Amino acid sequence: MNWKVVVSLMVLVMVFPSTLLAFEVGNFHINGFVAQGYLDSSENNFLTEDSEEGSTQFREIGVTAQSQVTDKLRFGLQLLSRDLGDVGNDQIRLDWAYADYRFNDQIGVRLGKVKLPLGLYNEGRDTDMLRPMVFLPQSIYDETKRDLLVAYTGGGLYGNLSLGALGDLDYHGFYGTIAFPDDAILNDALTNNATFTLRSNVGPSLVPVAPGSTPQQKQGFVMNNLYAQNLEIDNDYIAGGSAVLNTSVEGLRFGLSYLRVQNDLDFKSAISIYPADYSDPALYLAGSDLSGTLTNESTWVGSVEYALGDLVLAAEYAETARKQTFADYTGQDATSQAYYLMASYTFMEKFTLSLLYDVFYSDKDDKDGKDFAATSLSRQDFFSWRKDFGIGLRYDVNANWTLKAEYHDVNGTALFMTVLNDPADLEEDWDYVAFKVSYNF
Amino acid sequence: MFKRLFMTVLLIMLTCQIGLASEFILVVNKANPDSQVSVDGAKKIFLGKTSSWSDSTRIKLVVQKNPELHEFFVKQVVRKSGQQFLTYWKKALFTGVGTPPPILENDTAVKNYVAANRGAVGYISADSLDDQVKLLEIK
Repeated sequence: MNWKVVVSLMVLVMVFPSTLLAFEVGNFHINGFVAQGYLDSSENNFLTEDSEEGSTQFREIGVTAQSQVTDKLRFGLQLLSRDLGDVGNDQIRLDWAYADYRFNDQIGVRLGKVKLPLGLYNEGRDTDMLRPMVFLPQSIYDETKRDLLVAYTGGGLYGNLSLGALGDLDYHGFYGTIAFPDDAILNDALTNNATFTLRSNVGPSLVPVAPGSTPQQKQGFVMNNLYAQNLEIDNDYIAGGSAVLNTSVEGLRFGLSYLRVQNDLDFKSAISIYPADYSDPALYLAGSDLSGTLTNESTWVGSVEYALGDLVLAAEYAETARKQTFADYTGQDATSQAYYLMASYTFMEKFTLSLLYDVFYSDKDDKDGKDFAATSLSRQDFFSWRKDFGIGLRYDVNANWTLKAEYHDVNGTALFMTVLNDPADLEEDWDYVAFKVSYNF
Repeated sequence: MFKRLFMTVLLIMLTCQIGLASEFILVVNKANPDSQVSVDGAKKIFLGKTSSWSDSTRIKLVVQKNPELHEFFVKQVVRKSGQQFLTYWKKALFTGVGTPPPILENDTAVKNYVAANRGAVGYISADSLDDQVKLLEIK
């Protein structure tokens, strides 16, 4: 499917009113959405490998089916096809599917693949009309880590508790697993980190025994042939919870979310990492089967939102303590820091103007990136932060159609931009525009 | 002078609020044992956070197409704009936690729906109340 097909679909739905598309028989409902975007960046590619030329590989189509089977039991599922550069490629995947049994308003249980509660907005991240801007603030709702954060497969407890004068509290705790598609940008980023870690830690011991008649040739052989490949992420578990306090001050709510993720990594080095193997070409050319770990030891997000009539102010702050190891060598052991401020004002009922200031640091103890840049000549300090100022306009044509346009001025290239660009060509200051049209029924 | 002007404007605004607020009422099925609800209780009902009546019957919400009445109702009771209310229920829909309330044409359609569904609750213009449905007083 390409953008022309999606636009044709949209023309089709313009002809038919949404009431003909939304299907409802008794307690069984079918609904859906179609969204097509356009992404154009200057200086660096962003999220797609062709955004500098302008990319239409930016769309989602979702179909939801759900039923309230009894007063307490409901079932539902959503099929989602996405395309974002090399990710998704319009393959239809199960986005969520679960059974929900609500004992009472205070407690219920969800079993299956369930949208993961993180911050105020993660659960709705796939549906364009639910957010004021084209993208949620990337410091916390990073598109490249979508597969890590979109849903868990397991069980969760949720409910709403009255807290008297304080207001009421929505909570959701969960335990389960997550699956990573092979095309996730996270896979490419981890493969790059594995390669860097092997070259840094194992490379020097291989140079003396590597093929070549001069030290330069031996060095060149190792640098050209020692890389990681076929990396697979196998999740052990994901666990966490979220609580949102809806205060008795109208429109004011606070949130706190926490999660922990443990993954095992399997990958292969293109040549053996053991010097002893270099006595026999058949051994070192076979490479080595290796393992590693990817651990989010803790991710927590603190949130506040204040809806004052047509003005909505939102701010969130997050830290993630994460560790990556490759063949027992530490590839990363740092705590990232993310925060944003967003203001959205709705005027003339149908227009919403949003302003965003969004900041991310890969390592909160190395905000200027100097320690990071010192690890390699190929690493620059600005790879370790990203500061994004965005302004966007949303137009709600009616309850079904939404148009959005926005501009972002960005400093820094953290959040895996080295995967989509040649690191040597990355520019510190860059910008992008995004347009999106979406329809839901 | 300024103080007097401010008080006058405030009085006019309050008068308008009271006048408008009396224009809608909540109605439920005549078999519903509940006759009163707090403002906060009504808000939680229309946000799907309270899912059953005191006799454990499941609550079935219904809203109206009439844009002025709907906008006014959600602002006064749910404390959201019409767009915010729509987004709230679309989020519930596309994350699987709930289904938006059906949108009915007018007061007559709401009363017919409420009369036919034991757990139903909707809002209508105050002058449309008749013995088909029962008033749910907002305290």
